Amino acid sequence: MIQAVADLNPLRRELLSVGDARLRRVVRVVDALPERGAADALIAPLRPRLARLRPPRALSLTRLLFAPVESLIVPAAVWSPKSPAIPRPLLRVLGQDVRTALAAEADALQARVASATMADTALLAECGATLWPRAAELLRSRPAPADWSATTGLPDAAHPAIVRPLCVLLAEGSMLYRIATVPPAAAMADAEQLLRIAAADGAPALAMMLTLLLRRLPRAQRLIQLAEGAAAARGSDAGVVATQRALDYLLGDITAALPTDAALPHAEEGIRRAARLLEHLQAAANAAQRSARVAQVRAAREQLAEHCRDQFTAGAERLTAAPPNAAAEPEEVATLEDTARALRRLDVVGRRLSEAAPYERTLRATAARLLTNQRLAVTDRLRLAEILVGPEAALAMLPD
Amino acid sequence: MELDAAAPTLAVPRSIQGWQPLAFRDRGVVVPFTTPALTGARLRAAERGGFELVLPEVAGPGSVGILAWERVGTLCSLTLFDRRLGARLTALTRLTPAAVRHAVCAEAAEGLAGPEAQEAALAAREAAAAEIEQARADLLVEWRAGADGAAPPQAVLSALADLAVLLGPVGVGAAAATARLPRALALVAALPDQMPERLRAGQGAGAAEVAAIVGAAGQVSTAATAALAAARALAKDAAPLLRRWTAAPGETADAIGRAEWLLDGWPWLCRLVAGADGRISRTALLAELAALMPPLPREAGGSMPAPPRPELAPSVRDLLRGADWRSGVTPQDLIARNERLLAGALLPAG
Repeated sequence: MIQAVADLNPLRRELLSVGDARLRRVVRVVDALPERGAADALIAPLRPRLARLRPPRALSLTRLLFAPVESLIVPAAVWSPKSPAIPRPLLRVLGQDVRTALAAEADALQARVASATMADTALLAECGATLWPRAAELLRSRPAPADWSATTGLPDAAHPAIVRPLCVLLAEGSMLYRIATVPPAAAMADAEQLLRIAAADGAPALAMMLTLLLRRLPRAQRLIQLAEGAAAARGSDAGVVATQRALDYLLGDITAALPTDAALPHAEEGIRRAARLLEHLQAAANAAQRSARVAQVRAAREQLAEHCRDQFTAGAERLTAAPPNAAAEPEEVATLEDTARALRRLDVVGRRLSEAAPYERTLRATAARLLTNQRLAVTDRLRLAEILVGPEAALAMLPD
Repeated sequence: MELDAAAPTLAVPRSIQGWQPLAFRDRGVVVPFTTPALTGARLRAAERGGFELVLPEVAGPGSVGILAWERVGTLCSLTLFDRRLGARLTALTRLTPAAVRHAVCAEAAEGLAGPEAQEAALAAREAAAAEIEQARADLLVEWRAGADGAAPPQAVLSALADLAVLLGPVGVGAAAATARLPRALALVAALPDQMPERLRAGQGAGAAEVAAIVGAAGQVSTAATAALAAARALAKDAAPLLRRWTAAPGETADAIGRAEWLLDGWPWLCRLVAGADGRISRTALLAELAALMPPLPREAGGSMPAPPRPELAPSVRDLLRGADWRSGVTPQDLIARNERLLAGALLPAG
């Protein structure tokens, strides 16, 4: 085996210098192998780069199950009992529990999604429409699985406290999954209905629902009003409690749900959503003259600004850190252009969060490096510089 | 220093409300500029010489702005592609949709509008050459049939070659359904069916815009169908066509090129409809489509129903300029979109 892996070294070295597009193709081939063995060893050194490239994730039954609540999933280390979130270790144990309970039904669903990825949204929504309400019904009525404590590190008593509100959300999985894709007016009507349903179950479910909706929809102030109103209509103060929990959680670590090692377009979208949320929350806090909340928002804004700068710098470095040995392939150039545009989107958000000068400096330095990159055709260099700094500056920076 | 201008400084072009052009040449030729501020702009010859831009909606709904080409730099910062394209266009002696298309193809083939447009331009040039060659061969057969198989003199060969350039995209003989203009016509005729559900659906806000766009597409399709039939009828008999060409080349070229004027800008618009960016709201997209529909001039013998033009909310205008940071659509994204539209319009039927 050692000999076999050693024999692969020249191939591995070659792989280290291929462009992103070719690397994605290699991974697709390896993923499709019945026995990965040596092929896995071949791509092992490329794992960090693969994480950044974020190839579409295969659609498993567990991923399908948790797709509507994906943005609530957090590492176990940052989860606390009052946080309206789902600790990641629960996924496997609850996924297995559902699989066991559904038996043949689960096998049929697994077969349907066998070769699909998370990017196959139509299939995901279709299969989810079957799975989510069934799973909610089952999980609600089942005790903690035997391996609950061993797998999650949580006591059995924690099972209903987490699973019950989760089931409220899963039961409405279809509406939740599509809410970010429908027109704003329809989304707010759906949100109102979802918040009413969650309010009927109590503060934990309402806090989870509100957290999820605040991350997905832009009208934070209205969502908070709807959550509090839905609970108040039932004569409950769960709305105030849930809002407090949701905002404490969201503002406590605004970057918690943001990807840190994702491709830039994906990272940019998360940061932009978070910045938009903060802007709405700041307006709400100012209007309500709640100084503690204003300070909390300001702190979260500073945290997000720092995260944004870090992601921006990392994205800019990736643009100029292509493998050195080969002429860029067309697909690689397309990826570079996409990254450059995402960098400009991040630049726009970043300038709203903090001062503009560092962004401008980085863009100019990146454009200057690209303009002298001999791996790229002159036209490609010019286009990339134009995306980053605009046409005048690109022409002015063009080396003689 | 501001690197580039997201919101251009307006040079206050001369604006006209409720304008309807008399002739196609007044309307101008749609140029697929990639600069967002010039989206849907048309270029025409100015009365005092030189060229000027006809800019839809520059001074509010239902208006057009007229701006001398040499002042375009005061309106916005042109993309590198548009700078080079502008240089080609202003060197033209006769401004027609075909001439503009030729210039766009030549510039896009250089690569500054991106690889997709480059590939489309190269393929479009190849397809155009084949269409012209086919038309030339067809015309020659027609001429020989009328001359009892005699060999054509050089002057005839030269005139037939000129006519083939005009008739190639029209599609004569076997190419009547496959040449560029019939394919563009099919695209426009299919526009109502190709419209994404999110644009078509619903009554109320936007329904009148959708009806106006669908109505205009139908009107253009009908007129272009007749114009293509008329051009093909001219090509049926080579000898009278040659005589007409020799006596009045400009008028003959206008008659053959009428379908191209009618369809001008529509394949681009069809691409905009079909490839609508999900981040751009229905309201914004319908407003943009209504603004960009080339008006039918009076010489075309009809008047296009003007779509209703509500005053756009500032947030919608910001979105269309790439100036709303919340949307995630920046001017660079709009340039990329315009490059994709350009590529699509060069190959109207994909």
